[in-house]
Formats: sequence, structure tokens, C-alpha cells
Amino acid sequence: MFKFTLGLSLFLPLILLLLPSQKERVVAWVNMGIQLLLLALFFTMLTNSELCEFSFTLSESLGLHYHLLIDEFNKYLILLTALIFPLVTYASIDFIKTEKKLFHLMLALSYLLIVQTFLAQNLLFFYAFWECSIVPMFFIIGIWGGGNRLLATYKFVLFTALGSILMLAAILFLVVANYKISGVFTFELQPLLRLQETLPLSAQRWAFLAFAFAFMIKIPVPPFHTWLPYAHVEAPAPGSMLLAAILLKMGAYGFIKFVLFLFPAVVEEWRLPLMAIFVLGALYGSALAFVQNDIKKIVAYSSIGHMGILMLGLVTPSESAISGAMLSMLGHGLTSAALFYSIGLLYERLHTRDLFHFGELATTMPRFSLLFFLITLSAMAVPPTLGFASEFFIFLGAISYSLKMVITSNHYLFIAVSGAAMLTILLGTLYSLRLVKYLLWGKKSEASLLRAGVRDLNLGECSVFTVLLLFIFVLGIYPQFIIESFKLAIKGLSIS
Amino acid sequence: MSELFLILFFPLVGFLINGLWGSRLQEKSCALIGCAFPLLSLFLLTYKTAVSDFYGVSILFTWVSFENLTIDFALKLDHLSLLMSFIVLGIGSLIHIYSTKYMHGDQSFARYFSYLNLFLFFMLLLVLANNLLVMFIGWEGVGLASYLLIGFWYKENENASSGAKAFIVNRIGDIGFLLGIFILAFHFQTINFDEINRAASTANASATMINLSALFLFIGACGKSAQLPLHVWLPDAMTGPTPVSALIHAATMVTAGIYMIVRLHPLYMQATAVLPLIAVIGTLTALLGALVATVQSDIKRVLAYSTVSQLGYMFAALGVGAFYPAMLHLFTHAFFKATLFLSAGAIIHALHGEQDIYKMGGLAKKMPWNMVAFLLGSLCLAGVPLTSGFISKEAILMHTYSHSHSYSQTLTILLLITAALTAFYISKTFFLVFLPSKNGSEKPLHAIAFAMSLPVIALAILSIVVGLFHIPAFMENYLNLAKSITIKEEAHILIPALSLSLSAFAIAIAYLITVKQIKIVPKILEQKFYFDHLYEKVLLSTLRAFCKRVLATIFEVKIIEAAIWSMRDLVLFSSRRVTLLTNGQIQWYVLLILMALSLLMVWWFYV
Amino acid sequence: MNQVELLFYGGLLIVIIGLLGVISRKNLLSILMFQELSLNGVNLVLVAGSILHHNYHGAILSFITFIVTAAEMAIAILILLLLIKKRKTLDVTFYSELKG
Repeated sequence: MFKFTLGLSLFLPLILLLLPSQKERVVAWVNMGIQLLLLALFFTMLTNSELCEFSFTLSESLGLHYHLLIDEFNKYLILLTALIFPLVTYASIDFIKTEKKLFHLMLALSYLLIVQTFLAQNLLFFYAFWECSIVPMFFIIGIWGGGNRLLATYKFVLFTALGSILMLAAILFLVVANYKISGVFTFELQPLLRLQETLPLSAQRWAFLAFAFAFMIKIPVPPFHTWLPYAHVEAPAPGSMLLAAILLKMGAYGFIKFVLFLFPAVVEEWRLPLMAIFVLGALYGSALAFVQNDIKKIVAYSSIGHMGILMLGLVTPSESAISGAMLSMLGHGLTSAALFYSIGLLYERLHTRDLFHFGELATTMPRFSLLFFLITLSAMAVPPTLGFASEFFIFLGAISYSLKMVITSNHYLFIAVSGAAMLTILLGTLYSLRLVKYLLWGKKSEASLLRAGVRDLNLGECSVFTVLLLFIFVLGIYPQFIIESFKLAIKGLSIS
Repeated sequence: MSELFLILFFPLVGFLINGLWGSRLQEKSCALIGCAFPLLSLFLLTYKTAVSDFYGVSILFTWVSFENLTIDFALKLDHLSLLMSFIVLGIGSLIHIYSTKYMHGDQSFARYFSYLNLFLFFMLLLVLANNLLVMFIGWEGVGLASYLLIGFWYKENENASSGAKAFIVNRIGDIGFLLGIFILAFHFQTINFDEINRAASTANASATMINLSALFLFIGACGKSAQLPLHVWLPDAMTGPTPVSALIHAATMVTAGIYMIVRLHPLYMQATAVLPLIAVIGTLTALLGALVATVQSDIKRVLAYSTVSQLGYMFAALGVGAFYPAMLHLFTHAFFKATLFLSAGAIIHALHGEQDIYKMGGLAKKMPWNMVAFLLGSLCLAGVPLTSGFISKEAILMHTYSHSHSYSQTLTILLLITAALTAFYISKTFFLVFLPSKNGSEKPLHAIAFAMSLPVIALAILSIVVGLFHIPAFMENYLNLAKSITIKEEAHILIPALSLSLSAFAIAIAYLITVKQIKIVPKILEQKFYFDHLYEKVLLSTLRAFCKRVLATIFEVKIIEAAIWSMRDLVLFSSRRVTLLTNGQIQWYVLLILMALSLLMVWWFYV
Repeated sequence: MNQVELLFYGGLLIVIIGLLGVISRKNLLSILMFQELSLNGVNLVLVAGSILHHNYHGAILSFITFIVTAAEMAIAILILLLLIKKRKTLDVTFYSELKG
């Protein structure tokens, strides 16, 4: 079944290519139908807990195996991808007005490439798909984006490519070092994991820096985050949904899968600086979100804040912190998809993204207001949402580890960093409530009074929100069932 | 045991029904649904506790299970939580009935009842929680419901801001609460109340950890129960409907902090470094609240600051280890403060929205029953003998006096001054509102429905009854909280004598001031000791300015982006310089070829 | 320095003079003439080489060079004439389409 699913995701772009471009609705519904089918397939595969592995050797001597595997780390990310894509496709039916077939083609290509990136176990293939997955985004932002889209898309592509080139250098370095040490030339991840014992620490540090740089650009971690506000503001709403919900998680996934496994000694050595960078980045992102006047920028900067806390959870060697971080990937994916979808809805009706042009939406669009408010609760980490559960676990792990450090080795800086991290809760509340206040409450602003009455959500739009909210609340109330499946994965990370 | 979950979830069902379909229903149906579910929970609870041994813990499912920490979604019914549940459901139901007429004709009638039911659900969750996490879910949930209800009439920007202020200040406390949870989870490997209490009393519990966790949990309690300096949200919360103020900001939500500390009282008894802090902050809050209340002209604000002050009393009691008196005062305060708020609501309703006490007057003849209710509430608040308020206040004062630390005498003196001030401001308010005066309007009053007057009278009667029928003694045995102070002999005479004489003096002055119409308002009191100023300017404006000017403009634009743009500029600069080599002149190319060739030859021959 | 060496270094000198002229002249015709001079210098070097190595390779190569040079000059002059007709100038600085 795994091979069939992979094949289907490969043929989806081809099928769409063959459909005539005049029949736009047909293209859209075929796209969505096949994506829903893929969702069902992935879901059944993963609940059956059979081993899903596929390996095809291109070249034994060069160590190039097209090796795909669903393990505990990418399992839920694949499901997240499979869930978000049909929603993005549905959103693009209304939001994209020109060249619809091309857009759906880009979405299908994006689907294929992202899934391959998550599944790849061979470093070279991971790199190749990582680079390629930028290409559909390049076109999505560049063709269907806002006024400043060319700058945004070039910045996005070039910045990410810069990091990726360094990562390629590090990959080649690792492979050659492995060849020199063990005589085997391979790009596979498993054999390369043994390098952590044999490679000298100084060399490991450089490779770590290169990998980390690439992922920190993608996640993004300030100060390498400047492409994100541009990309989000100029991208069309479905593009933003895709970017925030899935592409950012690729960076975090890469960090777990490659950096944490390949260089545990370096991470151990540099744990405090890493935690500090991530926390400062989270505080910076949340602080900036507080003073923006463009609603898309507010949500973009809030993404930076959330990802910063997620990364804090990843580098803390505590079971609850890492579980929380992986849960947070799901939570943030769902929440930001919903937030960008709502911004897209608002833009479609009122053609503005200025915070002060809205007002009193609770009266004019009551259904939207309710759903939007519920999403904001998850962004603010109010129980019983998934946002709260994941942040609770991350902070629990971080504070526990910091206290342990204080007791065992008198390191007070850890607790300072973790304590500062908790200020993001306050900042999150500040910017979320500000957003809610200017959108939902208050009197209708003069600018919006000039427009005719806006229509509330129809059934389809409500159901997009409902699906996302369902997962957010159910997983927030009962996270144990996902945490269970992370336990095995975390054992592999050998936490003390 | 599953009935406990029914009792918990009934209000949630009411919330969902009214929330999703309420706008299509008639006002009567919404009211019926809104009141039915809390009453159902109340009856079920009463029935179950009367009929069977309903106490115990019931676990629904495991929320999360890590290697060394397991958190279940579990509820616990014991004497303490039963008492709180009765307060919540009892006063809650009466206020629901009151609201059916108070909110009559409001556009969003259904939304109001759905929010109120949501609040009850979260409050019950908080009260019935078996561990700190479930309590925290309820804790944040009531904060959320409070935000929604304070900003209920959201068309006014001020209401939305007040709601946000409440939520934000609450959240600052919640950060502390979470830190407390984490420290306890780390040290005791559990966040279950019983297990923490047991572990804290053993010898190998670390004093630092206990003190730290107690401190941070107390910060959380300060946020929720409006203690210094996190009290700034409570007066502004008065922009919400009056029944909301009665329920949330007098009887139930603000008492959550005290409830939490009483729940964890074995832990707090070990936290010897934190208890003095609690006592001091409680006393200062009590004093500050009373001082500011003396100069308020809005009747709801008088009551709001009065609540802040009374909560301070409860924390002062907690700080000296007098857990039972704190709970007793919580219990009595819930009744008489709700009475006061509801009767104030009736006054506001009758006067078509007038809230300024200096514009009221002569209502004694026009609203006699209301006057009696307000009078009974005021007597309780002032601590006049034979009222329940008297018993609980004296209990607190006697315990603070008998406490063995050096500072307790100072605290007792301050609390006595506060009692005098309390008597002063509430009697001043009573005299201004009800005695004949020339400020009173001559407009005909809006009629008060029976549904509104019944709860007021019921609560007034209850606030007196509790004092008269030895209920406190019964409660003391019932709750069985740890006791650490023995009351000194002389306290039994000294304290009541002092407080009564001070109160009588204060009431007399209040009467004189009202009759002579003196109005002195010192600047510092008017500015509420500049705490609101602190919140507005220091927290919000400075933070916003810092983020905007420093981070957004300088950092983001000038430093970080400048780094990126400078890379682009560097590339463009160097590439422009390099293109100078391709000037199209063939001779130049020939020259370059020759130079390269000669260099190659030199290298070939000599290297 | 004997005669062969003189021939060799003389030829080399003529090549260099010719190259320098190619680089520095403005008129296309002058460039061609200097290039011609350079090729003549090459011939001298080839003859000297032939004498030095005591075989006829250099001489034969110099014959071929003569013929090729002559043919090349014929075509070059023709191109020059066409260029004058098109651009009215033989100033080489104006022929810069390869710029950028």
C-alpha cells in the first residue's frame, strides 16, 4: 500500500497536467479528491502500524539508495501534510482567480516534493527534495502574490538556498569523512550516524554549524528570519497556509532527524547557547508581532515566536520537552493554517490587511468571529487546546532540566533562559488580544463602513475551520495517545 | 462517581445550546436553558451528597504520562470542594435567575447566558480538580469567561480594553502559577493535591523547592484574586454587567486563589519563607483597597475596591496560617458581597443606568426592600455584631493578633484600620444612596421584577443566617483544616472591642460627612496609588514603544535586514567592477590572453 | 652570439614588436600589418629552428605559414573593405559589441 500511495502522489501532478485548463472546477475537484484519497491511505497505513519502507538502489558504489521510511518522527508530519493539503486546495478554489490549473499543478508538485522530503532517509535525496520543494513555492509567491511579490520570492529562495548550499557542503564532508574512516562511501543516514563516535569534535562542530544554519533559516530563527514576513505578506492565502503549516516544520523535522541524531555531542556542548538563541528569537518574534499593523505580519511574527519555543523544546534533553516540541509541530501547523485561512477570507471580502480597517466583526460575521476566536485561544496557549498542551510540555521539560542543572552543577543560566521563555506567554496574549480587539470588537471603522455588508462564512468555509478546530481541541484534551507513540522515538535520542 | 462528571458537564451543555442556537430562540427559552442546567447540577449534587457517600476521586482518563510524571483528568469531591461547589452553584443559580430580568431586552441575551454557563463549567472544574493541571484548566477557563463577560458589550472600545486588561494581568499571574506547577512536578514527581500535601510534610522535601513553588503559586493567586500589584484589573472589570460582577468578581472567580492555597495548605505550612510575604501583601492590599474605596463615586467601583480589600483580608489570614478563618471569610463574603452587588444592580437598573452615588439619594422610600438588603449586606461588610461578616472578620483578626511573629502586631493594627475604613466607606455609600438628599433624581424608577428581587433578598437573609446559627463551628469541624495558632486569651475581648469602637467611630464620621456634604479627594487616592498608571504607562506603553521603536524599526530594519541588503549590495558592487573587464575592446582581450599566456609559461618553466 | 642565435632572437623580437603593435594600434589596417609582421617574425624563428635542429621541419612549416598568411591577408582586406562600407571607420574602439 505504501508503494501505491507514493505512486499516486507522483502521478497526481501528471494527471492534473493532462486535464484541460478550461475546466477549472474539474481540475480543482480532481486535485482535492485525490488528496483526500491520499489522506485516507496515509491514515490507514499509519493506524495499521505496519512498517512502511521503500528502498531502491541507484548506485551501490556511490551509496545512492532511494530510501523512504515512515518512522515516528515523520509519521504525524505526513498526516499533517495530508490533512492540510486538501484544505489548502479548497481554499485555493475561492482565493485564486487566475491560472487555476497551473496553481493546482504547483500544489500537487509541492505535495509530492514535501512528502518525499519527510520520508527520505538518504542524505542526498533529502537534500535534493529539500531544495526542490522551494521551487513550487517560488512560483506560487511569484505568480499569484501581492504587489511586492518578486522581491519576496527572490528573498525567500535565495536565503533558503544559501543555507542549503552550506548543508550540501556539510553532507559531502560527512560522506567523505565516513569513506576515509570506514572505507564505505554511502549517503545513507544510518551508517553515517556512527560518525559521531569516530569524527573529531572540532570537525563535528563545523558540520553541525552548517546543518544548523540551513535549518535555522528555514524554521526560522531570528536573526535569519527576515524572509518570512515578506514571503507571508506577499504570498496568496493558500500559499501562506502551506508555508506556515508545513514548510516551516520541515526545518524543525530536519533539525531533529539529522542534527540531533548526527551531532549529539555538539548539541550537548552548546546546549545553553542554542537554548538562548531560540528563546531570544521567540521573544523577538512575539515582541514584533505586538506592534505590527498588518494582520498577516502579526501572524507571521507569531509563527516565529512559536517555532522558537518549539526549538527550545527540541534541544532540551527531557522527555516531556521533546514530546511537547513534536506535538507543537502539529499544533502550530493546524493553528497557523487556520489563521492564514481566516486572513485570506477577510482579505477576499474586505480587500485590506490593515488592522485598523476592520472592527465589529462579531456583529457582521458572527460565525467567523466565533471560529477565529477559538483558533486564537490555541495560539495564546489557553487550555484545553493543543497549543496549551504542547507549550505546557515544553516548558515543563525546560524548567525541570534547568532545575536539575541548578541542583547538580550550579548552572543558573539555564533557569534564566527557561524563565525568559515563559514571557512569550505574556507576549502571546498581548498580540493575540490586540488582534482580536481590532478585528472582532469595537465599532466598525470608518474605512469599513464604506463597504457593503460582508457575508459570513458558508458551510464549506465553516467546515475547514471545524476540521482544524476539532483536532486542536481533541488533541489538546487527550494528547496522551500521540505522546505514547513518541516515547519510542525519544528513546533513540538517548536522553539522560 | 460518574455523576460528578455529569454535574460538571451540565453547564457546558447549556453553554453549547445557548451559544450555537441561542440567537434563534426566544428570550424565555434562552433564560430557561441558561438557568436549568446550573440548577440541575445543584440538585444532583445535593441529592447525591445527601443520599450516599459521594466523596472521593473519579478519574476520567490519563491526560499525559511521562516517565516520571503522570497527569490524569481527575475530579475530587471532599468537604472543601463540596463547600465551594455549593457556593458556586448556589450563588451562581441565584445570579442566573437575577440575570433573566436584568438582561431583559438585551440584543445578545443568549450569548450572555452561554458565557455565564461556560464560566460555571470552568469554575466547577477548578473547584473539583484533583490535581494542579485540571485546576489550571479551570483557572484559565474562568479567566477566559471573565474576559468575554467583561467585554460583553463589545461595541464600546473601553469594554474590550477592560476585558483584555483582566486577561493580561491574570496571565501574568498564570506564568507564576505554571512555574509553581513545574517546580512541584520536578521535585515531587506529581501534581496531585493529596500526593503533594503528603510529600511536603515528609522530612526529605527540599525547603527551597517548597518555598519557591509556594511563591510562584502565590503569584498566580495574586493575579486571579487581585492582590497587589496585580489587582488593577478588578475595578476596570466593572464595565461588565452587574450580575457578572456579582458572580465572578465577588463570589467565585476571585476566590480561586484562596481556594488553591487552602487546598495546598500542608505545602504552605512548610513554606515558612513565603507565608510572611502572603500576610504582608494581603494586609497591604486590604489597606489600599479600603483607602481607594473611600473616594470612589461609582457604586460598582466602591464595591470592587471593597472586594479587593476583603480578599486582602483572606490572604492576610492565609499568611498567618489561619486557613479556616480565611475559608470562613470567603464563604461569608461571597454571600454579602453578592447581595451588595445585586442590590446595586437593582438600583442601577431602577435609575436607568445611573452609577454615580453622588447623583443618587432618597431611595429608602422608593425601594424599601432593596434598602433592607443593602443594609444587611453593609452591616456584614462593616462587621457589625450578630452578622456573619462579624464572625469571620473577628476570626481573622484574632488569629493575626495571636500569631507569634514580630510583624503580626503591626499587621493586626493595619487590619483594624482597614476595618474602620471599610465601615466608613460602606456606610457613606449607604447614606448617600438611601438617605434623602437634594441630589436624587425625581424621575420615576424602572420597576424591579420579582426575579431580580428574590435573589437579592435570599442572599441577604443567608448572609445573616450563617452568623446566627452556629454554622461556623459546624464548618470548622467539617473542613478539618490544619490549625497552627492558638488564640490568645485577651484576644477574645480586645479585638472585638477595638474593631467595634473603630467601626462605630467610622460610621459616625460617615454620617457627618454625608449630611454636611463634605467631599475631599486626595490626589494619590484618586489616582489609586498610581497602580493603573503603572499598568498603562509602564507595562503597555513602554513595552509597545520599545517593541516598535527599538525592535521593529532599529533591529529589524536597520540591523538585520541591513545585513542582508549589504550582502546583495556587495555582490552587485563586485559584479559591476568585474564587468569592467569585458569592455568589448578586442585589443584588451588580446592583451589579457597574452598576459595569461606569459604567466602560464613562466609558471611552467620555473615551477 | 652566432648567426643562428641572432636569427632566432631577431625573429622573436619581431614577433614581440608585432604583438605589441596589435595591442596598441587604433587603425584596423595597422593592426593587420603588425600581425603580418608578427607572422614574418615567426617564419624567421622557424628557419632558425630548422638550422638548429639540422632538419627541414622548420623550413617546410615556414613555407606553409607563408601561404596561409597570404590567403588570410586576402580575406582580411576584403573584410576590412566591407567594414568600411558598413561603419565608415576603421577605428577599432568603435567595434565593441562584445561589451558587458
